[in-house]
Amino acid sequence: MTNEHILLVEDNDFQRQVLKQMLLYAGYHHVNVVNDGLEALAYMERAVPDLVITDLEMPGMRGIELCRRMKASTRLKSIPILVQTAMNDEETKNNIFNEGIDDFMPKPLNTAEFIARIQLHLERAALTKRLSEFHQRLNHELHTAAETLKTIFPTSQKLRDIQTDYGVEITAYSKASSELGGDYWGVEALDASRYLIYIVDFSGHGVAAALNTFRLHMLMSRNLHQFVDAGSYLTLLNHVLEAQLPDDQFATMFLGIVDTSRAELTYASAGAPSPLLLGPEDRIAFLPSDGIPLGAFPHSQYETRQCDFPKGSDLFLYSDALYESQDKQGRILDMLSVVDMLHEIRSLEILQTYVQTQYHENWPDDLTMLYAKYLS
Amino acid sequence: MQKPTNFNEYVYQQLEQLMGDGMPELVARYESMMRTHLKQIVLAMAREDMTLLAQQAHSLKAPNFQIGAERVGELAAQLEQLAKQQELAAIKHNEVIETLHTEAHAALQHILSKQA
Repeated sequence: MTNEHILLVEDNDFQRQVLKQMLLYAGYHHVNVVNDGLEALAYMERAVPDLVITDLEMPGMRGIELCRRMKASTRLKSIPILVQTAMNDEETKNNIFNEGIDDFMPKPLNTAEFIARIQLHLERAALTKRLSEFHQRLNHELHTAAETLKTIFPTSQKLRDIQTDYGVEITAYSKASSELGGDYWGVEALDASRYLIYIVDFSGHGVAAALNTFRLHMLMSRNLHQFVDAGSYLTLLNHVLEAQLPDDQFATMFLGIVDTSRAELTYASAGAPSPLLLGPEDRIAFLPSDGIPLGAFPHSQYETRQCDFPKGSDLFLYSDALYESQDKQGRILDMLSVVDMLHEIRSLEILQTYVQTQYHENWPDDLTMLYAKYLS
Repeated sequence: MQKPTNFNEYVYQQLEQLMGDGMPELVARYESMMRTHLKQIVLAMAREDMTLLAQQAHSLKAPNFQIGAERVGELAAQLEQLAKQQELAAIKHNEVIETLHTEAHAALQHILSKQA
């Protein structure tokens, strides 16, 4: 015996009895019978069956109209509809399938074929339902994970505190390629005159990359007290990550320390895209960025470099998706255009608008852009 | 008693096997349905109501094929088609209704005799 619920729409007493018996014979005991399309719709206000078997020619509402109404209803459109009719002409068949009806059985019905088709449609509907439930659960879990992931990024309050303490205004823009991203960035106070700013891009994207951002976040939360300088800190992170990450996973990272008392930036890079420094008086430079990605090799060493970073300087950090993704016209953004867009108003605004309007919704990689403006 | 034309005994047996103990009740429904629709067909013809005629002929079609009375099913299909095309003259000229009645009663008697 099966638990599936079948609604039979048939006005002819004789046919109803035969069909009910066919269904009983196949183990379908949960069968409700109504006379026509109107009664079927009224019934489905109260209960949603797993399958509808309907005749075409009926008084009241005909089978075709019933199907049309069901397919137009969000609640009923996924219920498979099997039409059984004595009208076997080609035009009728074409009309039936044009209305989105799942299957057609000519009368007189052959029991074995009728039952086989019912089983097929019920199995397909059950699979579709399970898939839809899985999809909903997955979406919910990904949404929850994405919300959780947000907690590892600096809050607005933290950015305001950093601005108050160090005079730096930080603007960030992130766009993940799927529900979860593998880009990470942060800013941390080190002491009264120094703060640390970093951007990380894990290989790949999606769940695995997001888990790695959590891994790095936890690692940095635990060992930031061991910080000495940018190069040695990246060396330390690489040492731990190389032991933990699978072979095909690694991360690029830029780590900078701004010392406001010395007006300087010390930094190190693990294969991150070259940061752009926009100094006072329109001085523009790409900082060297040639280190090996974190987690790739066990004994990688990272050099600490230094440059001036006086008031009026801006630092632009970004992930490689910025210049590796095509826009809607198939063009790849060149860094000179990026410089123009940033230099014009010394903020992320133009570049951000460009990315939001000119790039596809289905972004192929995670993108993060950070703009740190050392206020005059 | 006239024997029905093209009565498919195999189809009947399959239905009998499917229905089991419910076969007498189904035959009773068949008899009742046949008598009702045949009366309605006579009435529709007298009124020259082609819509009613097509509906009644349509109702006879599937059950007769389902029970094995294939000639009755074919005649019902032919009558439905002619009624839909408003071919009153052709229905009269070809004596479709008379033939349908004769065949329907023969099929009915044949089926009832199996139940006796």
